Amino acid sequence: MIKHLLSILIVALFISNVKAQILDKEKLECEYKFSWVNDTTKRSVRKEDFMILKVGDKVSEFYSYNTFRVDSAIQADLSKGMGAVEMLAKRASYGKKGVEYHIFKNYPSGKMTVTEKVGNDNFKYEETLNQKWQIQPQKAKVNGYAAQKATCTFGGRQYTAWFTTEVPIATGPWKFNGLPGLILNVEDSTGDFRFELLGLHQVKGESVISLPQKSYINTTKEGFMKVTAKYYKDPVAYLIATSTVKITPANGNQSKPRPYNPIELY
Amino acid sequence: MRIYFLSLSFIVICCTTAFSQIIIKGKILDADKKAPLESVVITVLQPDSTTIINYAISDSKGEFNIEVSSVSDRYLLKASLLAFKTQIIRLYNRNVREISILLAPQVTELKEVFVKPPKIVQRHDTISYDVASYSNVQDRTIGDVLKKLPGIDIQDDGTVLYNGKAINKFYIEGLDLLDNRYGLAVNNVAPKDVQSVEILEGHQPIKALKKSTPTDRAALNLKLKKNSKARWLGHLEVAGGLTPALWRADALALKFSPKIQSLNLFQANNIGENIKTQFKQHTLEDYINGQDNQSEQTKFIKVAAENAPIADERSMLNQTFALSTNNLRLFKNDYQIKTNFNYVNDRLTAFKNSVITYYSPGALQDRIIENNSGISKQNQGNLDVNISKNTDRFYLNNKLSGQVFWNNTDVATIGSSPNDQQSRVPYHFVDNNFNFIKSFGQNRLTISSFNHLTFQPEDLNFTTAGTANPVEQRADHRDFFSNTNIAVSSSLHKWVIEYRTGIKASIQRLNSKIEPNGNELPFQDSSTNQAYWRSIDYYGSVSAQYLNDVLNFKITLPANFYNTQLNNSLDQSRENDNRFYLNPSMELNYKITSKLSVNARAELITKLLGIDYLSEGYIYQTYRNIVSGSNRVNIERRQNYALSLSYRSPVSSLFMALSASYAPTLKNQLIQRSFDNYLTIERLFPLNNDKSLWSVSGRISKGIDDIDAVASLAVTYQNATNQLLQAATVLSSENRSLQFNPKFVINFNKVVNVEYNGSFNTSKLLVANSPSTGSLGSIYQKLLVGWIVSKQLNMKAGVDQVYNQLTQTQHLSAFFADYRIQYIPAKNIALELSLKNIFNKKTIAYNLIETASNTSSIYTIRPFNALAGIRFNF
Repeated sequence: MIKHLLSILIVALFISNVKAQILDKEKLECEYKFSWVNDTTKRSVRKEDFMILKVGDKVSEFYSYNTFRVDSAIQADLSKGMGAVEMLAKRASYGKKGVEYHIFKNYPSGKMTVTEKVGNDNFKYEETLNQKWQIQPQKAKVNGYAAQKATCTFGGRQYTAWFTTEVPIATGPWKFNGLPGLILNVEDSTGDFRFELLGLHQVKGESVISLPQKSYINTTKEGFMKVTAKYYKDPVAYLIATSTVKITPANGNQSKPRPYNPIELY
Repeated sequence: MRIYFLSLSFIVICCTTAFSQIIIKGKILDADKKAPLESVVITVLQPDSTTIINYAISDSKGEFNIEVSSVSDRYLLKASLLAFKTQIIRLYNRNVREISILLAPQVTELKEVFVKPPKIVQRHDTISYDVASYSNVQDRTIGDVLKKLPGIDIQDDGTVLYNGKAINKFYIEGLDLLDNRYGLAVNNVAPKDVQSVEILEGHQPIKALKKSTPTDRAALNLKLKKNSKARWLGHLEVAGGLTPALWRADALALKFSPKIQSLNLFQANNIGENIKTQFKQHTLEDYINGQDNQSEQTKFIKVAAENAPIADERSMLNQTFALSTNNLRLFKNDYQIKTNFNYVNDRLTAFKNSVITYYSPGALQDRIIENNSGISKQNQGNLDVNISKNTDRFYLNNKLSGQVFWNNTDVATIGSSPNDQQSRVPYHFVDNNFNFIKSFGQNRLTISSFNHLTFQPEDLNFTTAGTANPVEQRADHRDFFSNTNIAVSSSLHKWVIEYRTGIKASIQRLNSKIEPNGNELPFQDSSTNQAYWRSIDYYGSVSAQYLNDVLNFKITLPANFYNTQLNNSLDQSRENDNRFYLNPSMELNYKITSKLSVNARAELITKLLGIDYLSEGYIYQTYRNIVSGSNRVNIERRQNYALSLSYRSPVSSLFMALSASYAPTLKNQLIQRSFDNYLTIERLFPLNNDKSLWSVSGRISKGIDDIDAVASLAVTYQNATNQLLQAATVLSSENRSLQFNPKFVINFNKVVNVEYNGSFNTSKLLVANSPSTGSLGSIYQKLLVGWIVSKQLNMKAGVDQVYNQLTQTQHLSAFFADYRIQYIPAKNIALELSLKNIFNKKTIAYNLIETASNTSSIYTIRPFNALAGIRFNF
C-alpha cells in the first residue's frame, strides 16, 4: 500500500511538467521480450517485460514499455487534476509497471547514460561502452535474419548473443552493444536473463530519442549498485530514510528483504 | 530496393606494421556532406564475404581501427550504416593501409519483424485471447474461433462456457448490446474485425454490487480492431443449390461506435441452417432476484414436427426467415437505451417411423407403431426496450419486453392408430423488469419489481381413422406473475448484512374443454377445467456475507409465507391454504491460489407448482397422451449441493475444472400412468415422489503452442432416479449415463488445419422388477480437415459418424461426408461451393430411453445437397 501510494506520489511529483533533452532522431524501433528470474530459489518463476529499443543515427534508448504506459496513464490523470488518493483507488486499472531503467547508449559519445528510479529517487550514471565480444562460427536464422553467434563477459555474467549484420547497427537490448550488427537475442549462461527480439520496424515519422530532465542524483555505477542492494534488503527502511513524507508502517519498521538477483554482479 | 547512387573511392595513404599484428585504420565520410559518419559498422571478411575476421565501429570523428593478424589479397572490407549504401572493398594490397571511405545515402528497406502478441495474456482478472493467433481464413464467425480457444466451449444450444461454466454477459467493446441473445454476435461478427476475446473473470455486471456481491461467473468481451470500430461492417450473401431447390440469403450490417452500437440482419434459408438458435436467451441469471423471476409457463399441447436428434444441418427440413435489429445508444450521465427486435418465420417438416415400448413391472408391454409426417409453422416476434444506468453507486434498469408466438403444427400419422392432428399453440407475453440500486456511504437500497403477463390460448383437433368429426381440445390459460421487493444492506468492515422483504404473486386461470363431436372419449371423468389459482408469497430474508480478497462466504435465510387459493368453477369449490417455509442457502467462493479456486453452494428450494398441475379435468397433449392434475397443491422441495474446483493458468494455456452436484427432490405427488389401447393417461396421485440427480464432471483444456494446437476433454457421469405409478405399483427407475467429449484443433504451418470433435455416451436404464436394457452406447464424432492452398483458395473436407446402439445386439451406424471450397478473387468477395451428405444418406435411426419407456425411430434426414454462393464483405 505504502509502496503504491509513494510510487504514485513520486510519479506525480516528477512526471508533471517534465522537460526533455533531445538526443537524436529515431530511425529504427525494435521490441524485445525481457524475461528474468527474480528469485533464484524459484527458477521456474520468470518475470517478463516488454521493452522498446529506439535507434537513432548515434544514440539508442532502451526502456520498458509497461513502465512508460503506466507513467503516461498517471500523468494523463494528473493533468486532469486527479488527486493522489483517487489515483491510488484506481491503481489496478493502471496495470503493472516493468523495469525502471532507461539506457541511452552512445550518449555521451563512446559512453552510455543510465537513469533508473529506486524508491523515491531518480539516479543517473555514465558507463563506458566496452563489451569485448568474441564472434563464434555458429550461424542460424533468427526472425528471418541471417544471424551469427557471439559471446562476451559483462557485469560478472557470461552472455551468448545472436546478431545480424543485415541490420548494420552496433547496438542491442539493455547495455549490449558493439557487435557488427543488431543483437537479436541474448541470454546469460545461467538462463536467468534473456532478451528476445519480437519486432523490428523502420520509423518514418518524426520520433525522437530524448532524455527527460528530472532532478537526477548523479552517481557512478558502483554507487548506484550499492543503493539498489540496500533498497532490496529493506525497501521500507529505504523509503523511510529517503522520503520527505512521514511513513509509519503498520508492522514496525521491518520489511522482508525482497528477492534480489541483479543482472549485474559488479 | 532502388539504388540511386553509388560511389566508391579509396586511397592508400600509408602503411604501418606493428609486430605480427596489422592495424587497418580508416575514416568514413558521408559522400554528400563530406562529414564524418559515426556508428558505421566496418567488418573485415573472408573472401566468402560472410565469415567475419574482425570488425570495428566508427567513432564520432568517423575513424576506426581494425586489428588483423595478416592480410590476404582476397580479404574484403565492408562498411555499412543504416540509410547508406553498403561499401565492400577488396584489401588487395599486402600492406596495411589507412583507408577513407565515402558512404552515399540510400533508402534502405529492412525486413520488418512484427511483434506477435502472445496468444493469451492475463492482466488481473482479465484473460485476453489474441484472435489472429487462433483463427484462419476458413473461420466465418467469431463463434468458429471461440470454439478453438483453450478454456472456452460452445454448447449445441449456443451457450458459451468458460472453464465449464456459462458466461454471464457477452459484451462488444464493453457494451451489452444483445442482452442475453448473444448468439447474434457469436454467429455473425466476423473474426477479421475482432482484435481479442477477453474473459472477465468473476464479473459482476452491476457496478454498484461489484464490491459486495462477487460472482464465480465470467463475462466475455469482444475487443474490436481499431479500423473496425465506428464504421459499418457486414456482408451480403446469396446462395442457391439442389436438391430440392435450395436457397440461402444473408444480409448483415453492424456498427460499434463508442456511444452507438447497432446490429441488423436478415437471413433466410432452406438448407438446414438453424438461425433460430441465435435468438435464444442464454443467461437468465439475475443478480438481484436470482432465479425467482423465471416465469416461463409450460405448454399443454405437445404435438410436434420432430427432426432427428442430430446436427440441424443434417436433419432439419426447414424454410426459415429471420429479421433482427438491435440498437444501443449511450446518453449523457451514463444513461443507456437499448432496443432489440427479432422476428422469425419458420416452416419445418418432419418424417419419422417409430416404435414405442413402455415398460411395466414384470414384463415388456405396449408397443405402439407410429409413422408420422408433420408440418410446423412458427411465427415469433419479440421486442425489448431497455433503459439503464450502471455506475459505481447507482443502478437503474428497466426492461419492457413483449413476445407474440404462434406455432401451428399438423401431423398425419399412420400405424397403430392412424390419425390427423392439428394444433395451435400460441405463447404471448408482455413483461416489465425494474431494478434500482443506490448506495449511501456504506449502505445500499435495492428496489426491484418484475411483472409478467402470459396468454396461451391453445387448441388441438384430431381425427382418428374411421371417424368423421375431429375431437377438439381447447386449453386457454392466462398467467400473471409479479415479484416486488425492497432490500437494504450495510457494509461493516468485511461483512455485508442485507435485509430483504417482498411479495411474490402468481395468479393463473385455466379454461379447457374437450368437444368429442360424436367421438367416444376413453375416460368417464371430467373433460373440462375452469380453474383459478392464486398464490401470494410474503417473504423476508436476511443474509450475512463475509468478503475479503480471497474468500467470500454468504449465508441467506429466507422465510416464505404462502397464502394460496384454488377455485374450481365447475363444482363451485374453493380451497384456501396457508403455508410457511424456510429456504436457507449458503455459498462459498475461495481463491486457494491465484490459479485455483473453489466454489461450494448448498440450498433448499421450495416451489408451489401452478395451474398446470391443478387441472382436474383431462387434457389431450397429443392424440395419444392425456394428462390431468389434481386439486391438491403440488409442492416440490429440492435440495441442491454443488462443489466446483477451477484451475486456470493462462501462461501455460491450461484450464481445468471439476464439479460435482447432488440434488434430491421430494414432490408430494406422483405421476400415475395407465394405458388404454394406444392411449397413455397420466394423472397426479397423492403419493410422495422421491427423485434425485447427481452428477460429476471434469474438463481439461490445453493449448499446445509448439504445435499450434488446442486439445480438450470433458467427462460427465450422471445418475438420475425417478418414480412413477403404473398398474398400482410404484415403479422406481434409475438412469446412469457416462459421456466423454474429446476435442482437438491442430494447425500445421497455417496451411493445413485439423479439427476433431467427439461425443461418446453410454447409458443404462434400470427399472425395478423389470429386465434391464443393459448399457447402450451412442457415438458422434466429426473430423474436419482444412487446407488453405493460398490466400485466394481454401477448402475443407469433413467426415462424421453417428452410431447408435438400439439393443445389446443391434446397432446402427451412419457416416456423412461434406466438402467446401472457397475462392476469394478480391479482398471483399468470396465464392463458395459446398457439398453436404455426399454419401446421400437419407434416413437415420435413433433410440431414446426415457423413464420406463423406449422409443426407436427412423427419421428422414436431408439428402445430398450442393450449394453455390457469393459473398460480399464490407
